[in-house]
Amino acid sequence: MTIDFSVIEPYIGVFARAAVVTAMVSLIAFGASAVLAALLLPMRVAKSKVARATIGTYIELMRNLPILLVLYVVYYGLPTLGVPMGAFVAAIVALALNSTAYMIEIYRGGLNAIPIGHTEAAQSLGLRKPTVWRNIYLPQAIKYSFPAIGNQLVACVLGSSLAMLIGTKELTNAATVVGSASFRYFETFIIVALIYIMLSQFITFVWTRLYAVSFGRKYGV
Amino acid sequence: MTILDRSDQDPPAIAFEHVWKRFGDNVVLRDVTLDVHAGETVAIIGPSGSGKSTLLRTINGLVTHDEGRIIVDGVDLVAANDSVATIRRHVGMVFQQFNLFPHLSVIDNIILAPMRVGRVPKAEATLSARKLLERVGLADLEHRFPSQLSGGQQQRVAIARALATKPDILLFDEPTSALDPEMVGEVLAVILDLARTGVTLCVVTHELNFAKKMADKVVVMDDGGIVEIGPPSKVLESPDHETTIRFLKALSGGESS
Amino acid sequence: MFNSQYWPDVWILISRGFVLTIVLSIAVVIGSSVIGVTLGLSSHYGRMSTKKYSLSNTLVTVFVRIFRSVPPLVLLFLLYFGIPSAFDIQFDALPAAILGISLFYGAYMIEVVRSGLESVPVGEVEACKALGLNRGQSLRFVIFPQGIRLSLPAGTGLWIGAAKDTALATGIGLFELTTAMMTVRQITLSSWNVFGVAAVLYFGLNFGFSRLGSGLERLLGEDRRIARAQGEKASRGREFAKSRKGST
Repeated sequence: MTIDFSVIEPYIGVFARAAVVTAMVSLIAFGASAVLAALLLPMRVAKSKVARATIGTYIELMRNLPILLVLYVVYYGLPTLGVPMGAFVAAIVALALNSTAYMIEIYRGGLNAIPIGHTEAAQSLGLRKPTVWRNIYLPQAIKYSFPAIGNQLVACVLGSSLAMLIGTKELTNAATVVGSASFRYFETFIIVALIYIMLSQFITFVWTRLYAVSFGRKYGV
Repeated sequence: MTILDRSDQDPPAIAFEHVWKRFGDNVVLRDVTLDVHAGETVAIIGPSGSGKSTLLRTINGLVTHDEGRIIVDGVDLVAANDSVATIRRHVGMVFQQFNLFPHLSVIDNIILAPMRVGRVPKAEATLSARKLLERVGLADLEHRFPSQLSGGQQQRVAIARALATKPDILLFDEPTSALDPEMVGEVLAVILDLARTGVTLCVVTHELNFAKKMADKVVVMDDGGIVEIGPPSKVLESPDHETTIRFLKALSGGESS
Repeated sequence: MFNSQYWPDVWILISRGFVLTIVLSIAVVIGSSVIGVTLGLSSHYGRMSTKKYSLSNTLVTVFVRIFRSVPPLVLLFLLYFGIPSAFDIQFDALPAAILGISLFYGAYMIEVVRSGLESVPVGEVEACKALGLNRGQSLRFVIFPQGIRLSLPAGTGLWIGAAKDTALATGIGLFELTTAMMTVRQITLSSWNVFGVAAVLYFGLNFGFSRLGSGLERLLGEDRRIARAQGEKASRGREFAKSRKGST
């Protein structure tokens, strides 16, 4: 039994490049899901039963199906319908599809957390809808959902590791490649685990600081 | 047992000597010196934030004081944590919000501490518990759960629960403040009954008529310090201190009783 | 649906995969719950201490921070490939999968348990102290029974997450449902049929877990407790509680 971390040194470049891919996949997927979820939110709370049922089904699907399944469907299934799919794009699409569902629920949760007194006050003051939304609902919804959004970003980073199974050249993939090249699986995976830990902790740290600066209150995770 | 029967040579049941307590920059207890003798009933009154609840909580160690000495039943509470555990067997507390355990039935709420702390066998504990329930007027409710009881009933169960460990000293933190007015009487009746039995009572309350009836002495607190101490006839009817006068005026101004 | 010549093989493969997925799912639900409850309890016990610093709380917090931050797939690889490579210990795929996923979801479960325990009203904790109960007794008789029920909703969500991530076992060669699905796909050369079947099966599995969760919540819930203590049927217990709630 030998543990020797120095064997990894020549591969640092590989890890660095792979980390960039991981970052890109996670951030693009997260960003897309944040935007998409905002656009789909009205459907989720719409008066129309059809609208709500459609979005509801989509959310339930993403909630109950493994991301890996979605990933395989996107990567192997969509091309049969004529949609070309590389590993990189498929990873982003699948991750975004999954993340959007959770983000819709997070936004909804943020809105629900606004004390009912605020809505009543707004109504009794006779303010117009756009004003109410911009000045009262939106800032508060963001404040209440902030921690959960941060968690979702971390979830995207961790979720990107699945893309390894369809060949995306991200961090976990790099780990297996370096591991088999160096026969040092233990050291490789420990290093990669540490990189993920640093990434996650960094994101969480920045997120909590951002919260403290913007909302100046105790972080409610 | 009146004040006159008591020998002044007996050490007090509760003694505060120059006690201070701060929460951060806030001074919550300010140079508190107070003696409570065994069997005495003390009413503690004062405006909100005057430190009354904190005072009570330093007696059974729920709050640790920063300076000064607190001696309860001969045990100095400055020392190690063991002291607190010991005196909690002799000191019972009843809370404003009752704090009954909702997942346990009334009888289970009462026998929990005697069984686990006092190591009393279940049968014996249950028998004593039933007697206590009778005493507070809730004999057939032993299998109910707190959510099925009214506020007044819950508080009476809480009193029975505190009595189950056979304490020498009972602390009441605004026992009727969370009750609807029609239930206040039933709880005060139980406390009055207790006052006659020789247990030492410290009651933080806003019910001045009650204090007049049952207290041997009244302690007035303001801003962490004791402002006036004396028998109810003096403090509540012809007080010396300006704060007391102001406080009593404010209370009677808002009440119709 | 499928080309009939493949049908018996397809059936066998998917069943095999689904059975393994069920086994894995149950194992990781148990595993993550055990980790969550034991470490959550000991961490809370430490936090209840009057001393400023608690070793158990710190250790558990470190554990949580680490295992929440590493993708489960990496944990699986570390256990299955890494440990044997460095320590000459043979680590089979099945235990590696179960342990890896349980560690990840166990870490989240610890947070859920801790927050449930902390949600027990402070007044009740004060009452425990005033009655002379020590930390262990307060935890055992008052805090844990209530706290665990408060943790159930979030806990059930984590169970479903863990059950879903059993799909990752594909990566270390286990023949669970996702592997079966991809194998069938290669044989029959039709994707969407088999995707659909797998989807339905996963749905069914997770639905089962979420029913389990709500069943547990009801079992531990107030109505049942009241009814059991008073020897009456559950529905009447509920009525009792409702009729009294208004009079506080």
